[in-house]
Amino acid sequence: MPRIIVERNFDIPVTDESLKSLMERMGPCLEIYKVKWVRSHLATDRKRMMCEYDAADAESVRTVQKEAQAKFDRVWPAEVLGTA
Amino acid sequence: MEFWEGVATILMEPDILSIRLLGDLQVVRGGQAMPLPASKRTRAVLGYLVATGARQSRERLCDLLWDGPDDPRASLRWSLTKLRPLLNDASAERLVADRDSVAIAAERMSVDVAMVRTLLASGAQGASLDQLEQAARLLGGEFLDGLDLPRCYRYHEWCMAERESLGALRRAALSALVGRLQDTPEQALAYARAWIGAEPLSESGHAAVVRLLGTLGRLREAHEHCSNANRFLERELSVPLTGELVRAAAAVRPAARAPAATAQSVQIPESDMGVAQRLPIVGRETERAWIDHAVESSFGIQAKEVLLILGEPGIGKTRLLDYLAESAAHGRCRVLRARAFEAEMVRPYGAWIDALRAVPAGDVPNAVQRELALLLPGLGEVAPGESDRGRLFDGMAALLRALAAAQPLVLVFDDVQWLDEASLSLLHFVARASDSPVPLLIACAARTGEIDDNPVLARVRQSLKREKRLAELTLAPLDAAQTAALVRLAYPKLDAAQVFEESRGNPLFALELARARQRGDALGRPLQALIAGELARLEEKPRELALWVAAYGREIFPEVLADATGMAPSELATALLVLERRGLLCATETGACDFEHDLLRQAAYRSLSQPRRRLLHRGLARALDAAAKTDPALLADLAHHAGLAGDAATAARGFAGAADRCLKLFANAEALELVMRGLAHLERVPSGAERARLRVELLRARIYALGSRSVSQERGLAAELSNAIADAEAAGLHAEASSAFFALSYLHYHSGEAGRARAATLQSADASQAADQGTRARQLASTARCLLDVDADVARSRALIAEAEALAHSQRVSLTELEWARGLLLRWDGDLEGARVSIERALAIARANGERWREYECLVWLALVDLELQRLERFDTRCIEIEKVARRMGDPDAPVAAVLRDLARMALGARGAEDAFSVSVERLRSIDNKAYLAYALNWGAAIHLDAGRLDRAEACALEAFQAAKAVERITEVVVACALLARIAVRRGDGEATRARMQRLAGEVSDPQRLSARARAHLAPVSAVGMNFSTLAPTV
Repeated sequence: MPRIIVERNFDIPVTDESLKSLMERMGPCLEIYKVKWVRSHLATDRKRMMCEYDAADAESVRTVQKEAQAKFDRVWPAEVLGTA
Repeated sequence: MEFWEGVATILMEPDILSIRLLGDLQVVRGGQAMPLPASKRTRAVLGYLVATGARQSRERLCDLLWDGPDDPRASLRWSLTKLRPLLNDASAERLVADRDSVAIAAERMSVDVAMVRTLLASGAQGASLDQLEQAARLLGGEFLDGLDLPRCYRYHEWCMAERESLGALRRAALSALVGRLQDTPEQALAYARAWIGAEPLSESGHAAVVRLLGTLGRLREAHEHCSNANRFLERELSVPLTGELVRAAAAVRPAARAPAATAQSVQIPESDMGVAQRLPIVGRETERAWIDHAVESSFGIQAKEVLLILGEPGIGKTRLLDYLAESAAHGRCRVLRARAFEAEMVRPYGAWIDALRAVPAGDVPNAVQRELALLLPGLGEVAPGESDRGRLFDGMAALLRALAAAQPLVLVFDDVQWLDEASLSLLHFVARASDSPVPLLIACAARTGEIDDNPVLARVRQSLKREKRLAELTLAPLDAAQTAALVRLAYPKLDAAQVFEESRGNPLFALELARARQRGDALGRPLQALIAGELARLEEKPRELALWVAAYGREIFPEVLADATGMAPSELATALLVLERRGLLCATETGACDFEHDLLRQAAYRSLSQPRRRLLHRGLARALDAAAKTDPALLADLAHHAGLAGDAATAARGFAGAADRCLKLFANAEALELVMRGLAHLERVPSGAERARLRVELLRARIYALGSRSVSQERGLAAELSNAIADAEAAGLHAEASSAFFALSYLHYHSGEAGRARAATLQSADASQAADQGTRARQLASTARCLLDVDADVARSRALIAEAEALAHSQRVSLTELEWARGLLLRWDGDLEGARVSIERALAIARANGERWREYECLVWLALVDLELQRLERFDTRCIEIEKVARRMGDPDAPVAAVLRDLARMALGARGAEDAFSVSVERLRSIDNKAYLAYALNWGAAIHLDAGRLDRAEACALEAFQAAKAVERITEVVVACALLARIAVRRGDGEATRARMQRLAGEVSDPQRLSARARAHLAPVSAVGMNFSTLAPTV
């Protein structure tokens, strides 16, 4: 399954609460669009974030973000280099 | 007068400290009033320690005055350092503090409240006439007047209770004095008037006034007073009077009826008018030069700076902001202006909302309307969960950038020491986001001494200073020449020298002194007394109106005033005109009215006795209760006034509603504060369903306001909420219980108790079965639409749509998701016209609700349907709309619209269409949108096949097949396979045909479970011999 990366930027540091509510909103869509969340990296200043998903294409991931009203800047398919 | 002589002698001793708690807090040493710390909380600590006379733990003092997320112990330490030099001297160390507690030792110190209690130790009836007179004199002022801190609800409750207790003493002393002074009716009348001032609802007090006026032969006055008091008491008490007042009036001989006051009878002598017109600014050359330079250069290099004007009350900060606003307006800048009010520190974004009222909706860029609708309801509705604080802030920054790009923009905020946390955070964000080269200047004014009472402001100020974004201008008092110039502008013939001496260069004070001098009053009175004198000179209606406005605490709309006062519109208009011409009130840009200066408001409010204040707050709460039903922004005001009126149930209800509103605006700190105040009022609400409902609402709001980080640290909250749920269920409040269960699951979840969280969630679901049908309908339709979008489980989608339709019908709601899902299902079934109608309905709802993303998606589906219907003209219009919406959403292009348009052109055989199609397909590949890639390539393959371009058709169909397979879109997989089979047949390649037919048969397990589009592509293949009903290849 291709690896898809979502880049997000926040003008003010994102809170645990917002992230939790985001994950909750995304839950049902992930299943329907067959998107699997792999992991996320949150910058220590909590203003940038990269999320990794496994999905058939980037558009499925994009759709899930839109369905869940999640803010994102870019979505792109990626190759995994090194050990995953 | 031995008592006073003794007191006076003692007070003149240099090392005796006299503390006055009744009236303005005052510390007098050797006959001299000492300057007090500017911070209200610091003065409140002093008042509390002196009044209680007991050792207090630091924890209690912190709870009392600094209950919040900041460092309360540090704030207390800071306050004590300010109090130490005030209280301690060589003769005594009165402020005694150790690690855990603080006390004020009453050594060589006299306190007025203690004197009163001594004088009335054996009750008012047991006190001598002299003692009663002394007590009445001491009790003339309100306890800790002007030190109201409604946000510190524990302190506030204590202060109100003290005022009640001392008010009762005062009323008892005054009533006893009226009884004892029957032989000297002039003297008794003064006390009787003071009595009804202190106890306006006392029928006995009014009766005493009527009797005494009769005794003095002032018969007309007696009858007038009787009829006014009768009306007033009947309105306020809503119970029959005892008859005492009527009996008193009957004892007075009838008098000629007094003519009723009419609007025409209100005349203001020209000589008596205040300085209603705005005077030119005097002095402040340096500050004006800064402003002139900023405006002339359209803010130039100062654009990155926030201007903060600092100074004491009345020093001219607002006047300088006026100067800035006027200069900016002349310089063709747009000025947005608002101010904060002490009474409304819990109205999140209150000042921003006020400032933005002047921006027409048409000037708000479409892209941010959705985000800003939270602040400006006129911009549309916000669905829950669709926004967050970050988006709101981004939206505001984008709006200001857009406004400033069109016209240089000045944002003016006055009295920012009273701004709420949410407004300050937004201000900080906007200031930091203003790096882009648009002309935007933010100008604020604050009272120097009160900045530290607002820790968020202190933090924002520090941060802006550190980032070198803050320019501060501190206003000094005017010098003698400037004061004289100012006074002469208003009163050319007045000798200004004495005014300067007394006002010490404070312009507001100087003008009030000059006004008093002009009308022949002696100087030497404090500002408070001057303004009280000014009010006393007004006729009854304007004076009453001024007091209502003062009690409201901020600008007030005439409709609310009319509701609260019961005044007829003509009376109201006349009274407002009088107050405006006297320079006391002014009309704001939004059509509300307000005091010219906050000091005037304070002075007017402080001229009221505590019971009178209660009455006014009660009337205001009544008016606001009705208004808040349509404007939830008024809920915090309702709670504030109901609380001050002693109406605990309405206050708790208002606080609960206001807290909920704060949560929606992401103002959690404010929400938490409102919840705590609401809970404090709830203690006094009698048991029953109302109390159970409010308790659940407040606790639920408390949990969400605390957020995931802090909620786990609140011990006992889960047990408290469980009890509240039990009470709510016992009272039959199932919907409330359901929402509280959900909050409980949230609480357990964040406390690491997953098992209990799940259990609570299930209970919530059970309880909510019937609670919110509209939400459930939306969720069902959304799931159905998603399933149709991915071309999966259509049978389930059908069932979900049917269920959602039934729910939506019963709730009479129109849902984008439902119409959209219905449209997709109709398309799947092959009813393209029906699909178009449904999706167009979905589009209309999405547009009405401002659901931009759904608007975009619906347009894309409509373009698809029009293409399939061969309605090419309408299809073109759709593509243009798609591109427009995409741009509004911040996307420079719309790749799906582009590829569909190129397909249409290719089908018509347009020149260059094939190359364009290749480019737009490449764009779809690059953004990795496989579902639309498969759809477009299948269309391309069909066009090439019809035109006999078999190689191109094959290349397209092969790629379409791979893409559709990857994203599991069965319709496009079948279409690609069918096209590949037809290509092989056209080529006459029997082997390839067989292989492709077999592959197609492998993909089609049951043709009846395929979409109309897939079935349509199977038909030509069937025609060449494939029997899909038996799945057996015949060729």
